[in-house]
Amino acid sequence: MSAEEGAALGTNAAMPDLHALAERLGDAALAVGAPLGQPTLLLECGKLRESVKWLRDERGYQFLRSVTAVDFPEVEPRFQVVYHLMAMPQSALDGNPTPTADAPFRALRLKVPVSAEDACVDSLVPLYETANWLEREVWDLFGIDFADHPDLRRILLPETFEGHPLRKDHPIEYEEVAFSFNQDEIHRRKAFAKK
Amino acid sequence: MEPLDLLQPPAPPSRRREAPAPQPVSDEPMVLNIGPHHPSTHGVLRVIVELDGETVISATPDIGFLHTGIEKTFEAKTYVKGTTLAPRMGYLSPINNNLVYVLAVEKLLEAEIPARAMVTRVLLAELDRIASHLVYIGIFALDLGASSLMMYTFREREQILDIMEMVGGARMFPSYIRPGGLAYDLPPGFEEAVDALLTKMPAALDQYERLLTDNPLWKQRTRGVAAINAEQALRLGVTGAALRATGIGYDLRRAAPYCGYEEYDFDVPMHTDGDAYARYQLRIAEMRQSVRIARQALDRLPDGPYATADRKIAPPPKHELATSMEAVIHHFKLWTEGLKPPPGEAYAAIEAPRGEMGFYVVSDGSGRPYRVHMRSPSFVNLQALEPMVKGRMVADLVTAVASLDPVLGEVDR
Amino acid sequence: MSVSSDILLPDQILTPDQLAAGKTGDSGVVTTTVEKAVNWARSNAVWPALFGLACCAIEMMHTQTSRQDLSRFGMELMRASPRQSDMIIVAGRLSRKMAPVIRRIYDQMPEPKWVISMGDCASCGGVFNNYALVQGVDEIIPVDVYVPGCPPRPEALMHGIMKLHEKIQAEKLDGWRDRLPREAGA
Repeated sequence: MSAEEGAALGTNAAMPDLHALAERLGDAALAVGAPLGQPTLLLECGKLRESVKWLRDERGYQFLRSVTAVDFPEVEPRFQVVYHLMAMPQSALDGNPTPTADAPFRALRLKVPVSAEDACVDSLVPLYETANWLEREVWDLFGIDFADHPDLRRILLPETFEGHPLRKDHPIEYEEVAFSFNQDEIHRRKAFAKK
Repeated sequence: MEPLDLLQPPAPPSRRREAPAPQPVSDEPMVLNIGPHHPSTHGVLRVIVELDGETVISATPDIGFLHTGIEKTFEAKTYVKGTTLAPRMGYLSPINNNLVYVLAVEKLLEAEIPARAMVTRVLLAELDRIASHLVYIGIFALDLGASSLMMYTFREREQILDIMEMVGGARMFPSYIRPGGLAYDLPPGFEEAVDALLTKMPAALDQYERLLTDNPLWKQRTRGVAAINAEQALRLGVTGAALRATGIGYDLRRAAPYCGYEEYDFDVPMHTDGDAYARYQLRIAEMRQSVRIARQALDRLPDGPYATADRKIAPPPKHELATSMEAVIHHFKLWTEGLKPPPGEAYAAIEAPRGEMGFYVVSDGSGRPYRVHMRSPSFVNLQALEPMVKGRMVADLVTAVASLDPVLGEVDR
Repeated sequence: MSVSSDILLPDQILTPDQLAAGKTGDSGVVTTTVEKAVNWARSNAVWPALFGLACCAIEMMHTQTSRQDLSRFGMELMRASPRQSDMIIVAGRLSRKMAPVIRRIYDQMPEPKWVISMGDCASCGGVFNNYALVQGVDEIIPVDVYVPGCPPRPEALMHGIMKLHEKIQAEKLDGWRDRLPREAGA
């Protein structure tokens, strides 16, 4: 099943774009591959915006699917910001949802290692308007700064919240579950509301 | 003081009074806060609207009132327990949520899924799509004032929930789709129940169309309202019926077929107007196509195993536990440590009723996911709210939100 | 006192102390029947304030619609304005960002008011034991009836509503002043 999906999404169709991009970037392209049928490129954070601009203008990746991040606290740099892009064939833009074998939908993934301190990643808002909220969410949950973002503030958490919860060192703030043997003490300590 | 002239009658009181001196009216736009507690926002959505009279200058959605930290909670639970968390995000299309999470996990596992499970998944996903669109139409009509339609649409939805309950034990969140296939085999009576529903659906859809589609009030409130064009929609990342209403053909059931969708015969309804009426029409048409797909799935439902034979992924059936020690060990390992996909990452996306829903799962080789991110269609679609209502009346804001069909659980996660 | 009719007037069957107490509205034989009448009136059409947050709100909608009709209790009318409602059904998970909002809505409701906490998330935090949710709505507002379930079936919600009706029927008029929240300086 996974192979079928890969074929239909044109696994091999996205790889030439990635190889061309890797050649352009030279040393800035840290790794290229297609694990589990998903074309992925690991690149240096300073080159992100120009790479995405090239992909959008020269290769037709007009659709930014998602922006997210993963925290690897033991590795330096700590975060990896992950972008998923999609190129729709001209037939889809004209209104035909069924792609053909020679003009498939091409999907790829870009990963950018970023450390917590420097705002090395440029915001993609000038290229894709959808990146506005997506990058705000990453800032909110991880604390990764996007340079030139027009409005970088919290989106999901309350404004007064301290910390960035999806980081691995932020605790989940698990509350002790009340069973019959400990419910009396828990209920004594817990703040119940009055009218 | 002049003496009263008693010979002249007093002048009658003047009826025309002088208009009071005009007070300077402020030119500042009025800021109106709609929500988070409001009958017409689909959940707890707050929209901060700047108004010039009745015209909207800007509408900024403020979300986060339902943020549940589900993505962090995923990291604390095993993969199978994640099947309970995933549907609670986009709670109006739980089977589709469940399906895409399991597809992402199975991609990591590189598992082979038997045909019976694949066909059942398609069948349940399409029933779920119908159920979600029924809520959409009912609530859309309710928001616009046609409150009785909700009673009609929920009547069919109850039948679909009966089927979900028959299959998985719970009405809304059966968690029936598990990594490896299904949780248990289909119960007896399932096919008859689905058949009865699918026979009834087209007539019910005709009934809703009779009430709404040619209704002049409905048309006046939704035609040309909250329109967005194709280029804007693509830049904003809008997916689903909202994107297909603008003329761009992006349906993941065709673009990247999953679960064998390429073998089913169905149309993808398209439109070019991009307004609320187009989105409504598309959803009705999609429901008809879902009935078609579900009928085909029901006809081709094969016999066979309901889950993969790989015991490291799917638990062994109960009767084996009495005879095989290996089965007991597998069962024990699966329940204590959970299934362990090899380290890696996977992004799987499906065409959920609201748009492209994707799960990005990163595994570090242990029984708990390292990172789970959901690409939520409603979160991205809601960004399109402001361009849709700019320059329009404030009453159209309600139409815009209702026609976009956001589910706040999925927006805030 | 001479009686010209067959009707026994209250001051003829009460002692002077009881009479004095009756004049201030507390206790007395008369108030028992009044109590029953008031409670009957209060419980038979409790208007809920609209407060559907998440998945439980959908089950609440199911309870309102055709198959399990909430109209049978007189509750199909969900008032959007808290000032016009008697009860609030907190259906769904309450995040920390939403907590001040629900407190404000609860404070805006006029007495007598009741709270049904519907679902596991509202009762105790449910599946989500983490930083983002209030672990139980009773940390913010006092709850009268807890309805467990994830989400509870419409029949379960109706059972909770009937339990609330029983609770309302059992309420006493005595000491109603003491039960009201004391305002500062009042």
